[in-house]
Amino acid sequence: MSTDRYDSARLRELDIAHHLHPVSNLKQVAANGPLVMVRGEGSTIWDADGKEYIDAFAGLWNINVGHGRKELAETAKQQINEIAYGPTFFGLATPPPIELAAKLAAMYPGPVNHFQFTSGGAESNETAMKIARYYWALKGKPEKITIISRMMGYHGIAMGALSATGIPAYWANFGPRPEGFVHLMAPYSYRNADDVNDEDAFVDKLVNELEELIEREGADTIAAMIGEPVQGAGGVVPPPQSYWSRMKEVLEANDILYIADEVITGFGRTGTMFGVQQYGVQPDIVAIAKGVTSGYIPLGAVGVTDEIYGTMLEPDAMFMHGFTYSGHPVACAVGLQNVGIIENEKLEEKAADTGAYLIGKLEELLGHQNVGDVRGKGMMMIVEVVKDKSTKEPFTAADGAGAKLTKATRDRGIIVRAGDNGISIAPPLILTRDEADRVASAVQDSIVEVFG
Amino acid sequence: MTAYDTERLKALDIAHHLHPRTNLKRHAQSGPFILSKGDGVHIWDTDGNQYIDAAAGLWNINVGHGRKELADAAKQQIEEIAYGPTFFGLSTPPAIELAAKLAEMYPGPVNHFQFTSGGAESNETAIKIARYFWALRGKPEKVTIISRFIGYHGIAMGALSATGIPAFWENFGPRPEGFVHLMAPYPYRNADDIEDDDAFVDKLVQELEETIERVGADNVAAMIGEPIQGAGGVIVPPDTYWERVCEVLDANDILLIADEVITGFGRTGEMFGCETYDFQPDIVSIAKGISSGYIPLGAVGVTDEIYETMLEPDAMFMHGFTYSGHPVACAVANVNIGIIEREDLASNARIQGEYLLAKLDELSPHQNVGDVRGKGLMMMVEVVKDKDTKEPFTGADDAGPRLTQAVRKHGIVPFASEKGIMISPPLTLTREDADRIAEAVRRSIVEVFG
Repeated sequence: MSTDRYDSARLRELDIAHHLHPVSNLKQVAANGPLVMVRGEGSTIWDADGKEYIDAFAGLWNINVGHGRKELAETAKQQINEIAYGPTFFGLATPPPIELAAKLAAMYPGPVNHFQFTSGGAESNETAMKIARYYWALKGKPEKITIISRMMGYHGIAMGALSATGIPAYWANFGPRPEGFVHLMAPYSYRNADDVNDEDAFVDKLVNELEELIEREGADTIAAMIGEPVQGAGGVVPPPQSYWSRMKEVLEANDILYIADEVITGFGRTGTMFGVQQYGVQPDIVAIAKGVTSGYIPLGAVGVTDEIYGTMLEPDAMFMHGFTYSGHPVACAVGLQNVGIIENEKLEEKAADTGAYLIGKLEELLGHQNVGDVRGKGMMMIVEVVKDKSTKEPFTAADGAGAKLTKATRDRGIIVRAGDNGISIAPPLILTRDEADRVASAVQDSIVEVFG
Repeated sequence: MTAYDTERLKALDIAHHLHPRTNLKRHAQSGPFILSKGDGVHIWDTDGNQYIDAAAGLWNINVGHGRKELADAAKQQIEEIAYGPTFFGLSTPPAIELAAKLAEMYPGPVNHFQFTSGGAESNETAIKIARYFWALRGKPEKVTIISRFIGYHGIAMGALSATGIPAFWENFGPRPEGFVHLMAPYPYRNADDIEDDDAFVDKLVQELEETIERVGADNVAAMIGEPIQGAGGVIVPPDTYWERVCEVLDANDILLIADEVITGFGRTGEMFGCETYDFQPDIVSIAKGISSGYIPLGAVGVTDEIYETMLEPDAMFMHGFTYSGHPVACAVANVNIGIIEREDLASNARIQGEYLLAKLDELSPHQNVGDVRGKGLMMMVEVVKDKDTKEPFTGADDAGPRLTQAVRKHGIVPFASEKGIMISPPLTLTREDADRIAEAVRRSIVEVFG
């Protein structure tokens, strides 16, 4: 594999001079330069100097079918040569979003049969929340506006999505957030269940908190609860098995919609096609992105039930919401074919199988003095590290654990998401057992190198 | 041409495709208008009817449809690496090359670019960077964003709060604090009591000064504005407007965010809208023409000074979208910008824009044409119920749907609503295309209004 045609020193210099990175330590990027990836094939990626890595984070949880799928390149080319862009505003359409909307309706469980498109997860969650409020306004209950979400939940960083996101580090220094958002405890047994005896009691505690919140706020003021079936970017938190069905009972009893944020959990990641299928829960609205195109072209979508759609049809007026790139034909054409690959290759089954295997390997680290918890579902997992195992005291930025783990894992040829809380892993769903072994051993060696 | 089963597509669309910015009730009855082919300024529907794409998609297909080199660029990049993040200091070559190119192209010290997937995300990012900058400067109370009525900045919740079109606000819940709106520089409706352009600018600048006085300069982070307001109705400000606004902002330590989502990449007759009005923003939001819509892409640029301030903390900048710096989008944009430069499409936009605007201006005597205005290849024919009182049509008059039907019948797809007809064709427009558009607009107006 040749990467000779890249002048990596020049690229690094230009990047420092002109590329303002998102979610990065800008001071460090300016000092050290970027890590420039130039080629991908399957689960493997190469940097501009020719060094090979396993992409153990699948880009950002999204490259479900793996890199280098030539048929997706061909599809993008063909669609651009037909019509590269046409709006879906004002009743316009092109064939690919129509076909993809129909396909998603066939795939997604239950009465979620009507899909609008976006270009990513934040836009999907903004859309989902606005639709929830719009629905209640049309139902004659305009005071039902509050959105319930959870701490550790990640829903994106546009201002509405950001307000639902339950990670305070994303809130600081960006100005006042809007009213109408409240946050529950995460179903995070490692830290939030110390005072309870078993899983059932933990779920009782979480459900009780929801009931008290509804009582306090008033069900008549609450539009929806938004939640990832398995919390992702906040730290891979699979909830207790009965959590979602118990929460949904309370929501239904109080006329509160459930928005499933399946941006990460959709399209096989958890071991079933969608995350809600792990927990047997039916949402009213679903937000998707990432795996819908495996990241090849930016795309997201929002699905609503027949009931919500029927209500949205009532006014003889414009629905005043939409992004220019809603239903982008190239993104939808690639999405349609990508979803076909996931189905044909049964990648959700591979994710269940290889994920269980890899989590099993990573659990061997539980004996280490700085490994607090190992958890996951399908092909999303985390090795959570702590400063002190008995007190569960976390590392802080001052300890530099995240930066050290990042360097150690990259040195060992894997790209993961390493932070002060540990190492998150979400490989392409096509990962082989051999590659899983390599990921596990690189993680083990990195932890030993950094913490002794 | 590929054969399509239009009836099947229509039925599937009604059953499963929840359209944005659409009258959903009517759509469920009439079904979609499905476009399946594009070449140059032309588009075809699934029944093979040809139209001039007089809206360039949604103001974005600057280089026109069917550019094979953009299809090849997308294919090649997908085969190399289709996606790689720019989070955590990662990068891919196309994002780096494009950032460097934009820094070279955009006027002044705006030299540092972050990517998004569209205009709303760019404006969310721009607004958050402005507030972050002041927080890092030890002035965390500088949070208010000044924008203008008729301004359109997108519909994510932050962008929506800056957007100055109340119809987009309703039924979507409480907007955040920290946004105030000024009058639009819209002489047709806001300058009735004024003698000339200078006096109108005085009035607008005075309102800005009074707003700053009322809110307190110490509480204001930035003003955001489109050099020429687009989706709200193509509002072309007086020539001295931006220069006078900039003086007041500078004097009060308030950043200027230029929303160049529509005006960027040649649309106004110069490469960027700030060049048309000769002013220097601190932050710029771009999208649309950057990739001519072939792949979703947007960007935000900041000055050296803002960038250097953002480098100070040894901490993560906690903002970013997954698809920031998407390699396929950036690779396509690099080739697209090359086309805009090589074919000097900004000059063509200026020349054809002047020609088309003059042709449309011939409609001014019509009893329902209130105003004809534009700059480069963005323009509007504003219609009114009564020319003396300037009374607008309302939804109940059905002027929007009737105009939409009429223009399509006459072979063009512009933006038509009860406010009139907005036109923003590909920048490759020829004089013959301009004649066809002008004639179709004329016929449509006569057909609908007599």
